[in-house]
Amino acid sequence: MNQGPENTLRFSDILASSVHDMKNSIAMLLNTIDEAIDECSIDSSPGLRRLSDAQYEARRANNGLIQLLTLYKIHNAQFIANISHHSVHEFLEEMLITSERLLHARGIHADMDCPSDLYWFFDQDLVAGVINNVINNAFRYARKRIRLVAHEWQDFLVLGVEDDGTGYPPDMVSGPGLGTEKTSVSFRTGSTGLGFFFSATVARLHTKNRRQGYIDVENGGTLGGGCFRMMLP
Amino acid sequence: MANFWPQKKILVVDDFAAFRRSVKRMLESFGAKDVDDVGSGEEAVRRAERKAYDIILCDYNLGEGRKDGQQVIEELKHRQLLRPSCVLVMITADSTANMVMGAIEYRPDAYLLKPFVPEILRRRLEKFVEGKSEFLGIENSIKKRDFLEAIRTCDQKIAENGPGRYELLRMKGELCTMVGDYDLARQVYQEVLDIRPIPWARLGLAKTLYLSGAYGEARDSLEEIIEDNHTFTEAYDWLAKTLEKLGSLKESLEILRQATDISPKAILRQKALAEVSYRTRDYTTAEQAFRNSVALGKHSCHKSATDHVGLAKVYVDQGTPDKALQVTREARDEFRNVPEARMQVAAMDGFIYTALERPEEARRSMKEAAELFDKAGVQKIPLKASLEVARAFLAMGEQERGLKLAQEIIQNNHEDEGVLLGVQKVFDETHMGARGRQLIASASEEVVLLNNQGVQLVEEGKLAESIEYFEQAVTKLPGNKIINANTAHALMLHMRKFGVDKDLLARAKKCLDQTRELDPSYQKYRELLPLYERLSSAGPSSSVDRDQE
Repeated sequence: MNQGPENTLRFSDILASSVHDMKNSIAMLLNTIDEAIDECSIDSSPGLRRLSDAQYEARRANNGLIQLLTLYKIHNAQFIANISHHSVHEFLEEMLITSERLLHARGIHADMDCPSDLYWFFDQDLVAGVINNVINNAFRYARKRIRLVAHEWQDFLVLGVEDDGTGYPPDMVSGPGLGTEKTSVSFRTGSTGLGFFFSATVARLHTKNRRQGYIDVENGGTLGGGCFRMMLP
Repeated sequence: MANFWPQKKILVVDDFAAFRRSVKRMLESFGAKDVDDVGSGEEAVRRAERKAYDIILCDYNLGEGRKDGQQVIEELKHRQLLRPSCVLVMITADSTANMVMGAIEYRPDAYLLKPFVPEILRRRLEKFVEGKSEFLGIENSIKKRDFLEAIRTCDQKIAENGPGRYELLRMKGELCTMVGDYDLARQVYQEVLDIRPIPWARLGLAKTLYLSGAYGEARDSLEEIIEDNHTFTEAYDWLAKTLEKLGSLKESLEILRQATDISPKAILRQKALAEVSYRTRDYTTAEQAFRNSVALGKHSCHKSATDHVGLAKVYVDQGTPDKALQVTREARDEFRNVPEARMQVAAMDGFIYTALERPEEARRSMKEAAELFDKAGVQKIPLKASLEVARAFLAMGEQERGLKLAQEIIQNNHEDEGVLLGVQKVFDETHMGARGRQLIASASEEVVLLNNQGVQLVEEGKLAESIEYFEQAVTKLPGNKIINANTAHALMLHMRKFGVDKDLLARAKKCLDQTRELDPSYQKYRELLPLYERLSSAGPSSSVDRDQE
């Protein structure tokens, strides 16, 4: 009897339900850390900084799972981008709110620069996954400031995350095909390249009249440090 | 927003206890005082039976083998356990669940991806509650099945050009499709598609092609949609229907199989799979799919004895009538308070006992079916199920009722070639082919005559008489779309000439609604809608004779 395919099927089922379970645990962990941070902030407890480290790691694990799960689904053709019309201003506001505790505990100030009447078509959950991940990275490299920017440029929506850190290593900046398989190695220290690969994949899921979304990074921007950008048609 | 949270009654549903308690704490930190939390969909329904919640937060994934969030919503809405203003939020762990769309009446008001920080939950919920009031008017109209009013409200809000514009366009497209105005629906979808190839708009457009009978085009565009969106199961459903219409039953079955693999809990899809696999004699698939339909139907708005009967039929055809008997026994218990369902089951028992060679019990079952038929009729059961009952009557000694039921089916569908063929098949199978042909001819002719006389009265300008005549005809043939449409037409012509009257308008609307229920894609119904629109917006006692069609 050929049992191969059945076993594989069962394994991927287990994999998917385990990831679901892990995501539940991490969601829980993140909520608990949030509550602990709120409690510590009141009496400015010394544990605050360590909690924000824990939060950073938990967010990292959560982002990783979202990315893996999404990529797995895209790979198996089980995914449809849910593209609809959103207020970019409100979207970025929510991104700031989501990261507020993390950044605040480290004394990093975050703000945004986006016209209040800017609306665009995009998959809100997917792009949130990208931006959350980039903010989490920037958290490690920013000195005091992070800025989210958005504007329209040549019929693309440009979403950017800027920081005032030392910037991306020279070989990353404007390298061709950022986030493709070829270049997805060693993004800053300890990175697997998953983040960029995911970001580029999400960008490419946004298409309009045969134009595709893409990402790039550069150094400088308005804060003088690293600067990640995602362009969505 | 000071009074916002303390007044809200909120229910949190998640199988993961720690998570739902944490959500509860968040809500309480906003000032909410009345938050319940439960661990299963079954428990959520029990709570909603006793308390009218303002907000329900329900996780999509509620554990292996349990009701999922979508099923919870269907039951809550179907059993009308929610107050109209209640905001239903589906919480999901990954964003793909958003594409489980289903029927317009059974969708959550919003989705929320977890994890989220308290501030996001607060912001979103406040926004959802505010947004709900925006849609409340439209939803109320839908609930009252006043779709034209719902479309008018959509138009007003679309004209405001607010942020909810695309959601409104989507709703308008679906509503136009529901009332059979496919041209307008197509325009709405095209307007969206000119800006973005959004899957729901592409599907909406394909549906209008199917509904207007352009099956070839519908198939092509549905295949394209699936090519680009492999998990868009609703597109599979429509492709399967289209293939069935094109006569490719095997391909239709294959598509339904793929779709049920992707999402096995959708009951309507299981029913379609059961139906098609039975017709292609794939009994293994049919048995499984009927079983799934019965199991999924237990607490669903789509629960139907037709699934039990179908399963029993599979067993009879496979030569295991004892298994069939088990199924009908369960069905008897399940539907003990639903006479028309019991009638279907009793008729099936007739076949089962015949197969078991227990003629006495077969006769008794048929007697029971006959009594229930006299009491309940077949108005509330699907056409295919009534044909089955007719077959049972004719095959097993209840000829008089069999002929009466066949006549009713013929007269309600006297212009529908497919239905008439189905009736003839029933007669052929019961070795009464000649009798069937005769009945179809005479019963159809009777309707044609009845209708023609009414039309003649209209043409002679005897409008008051024609109304009286048609309203009598409609009492006799309430399930005939042509008679219903012509009755509405007569009433409206009268109003156009002599002025709008509230009572006549209501009577016309009733006939129009009935026509739509019978066949939303009926051409004449669509042609009558603009006239009804003009009359109902003209207001009482104004004559609108000037705008001739």
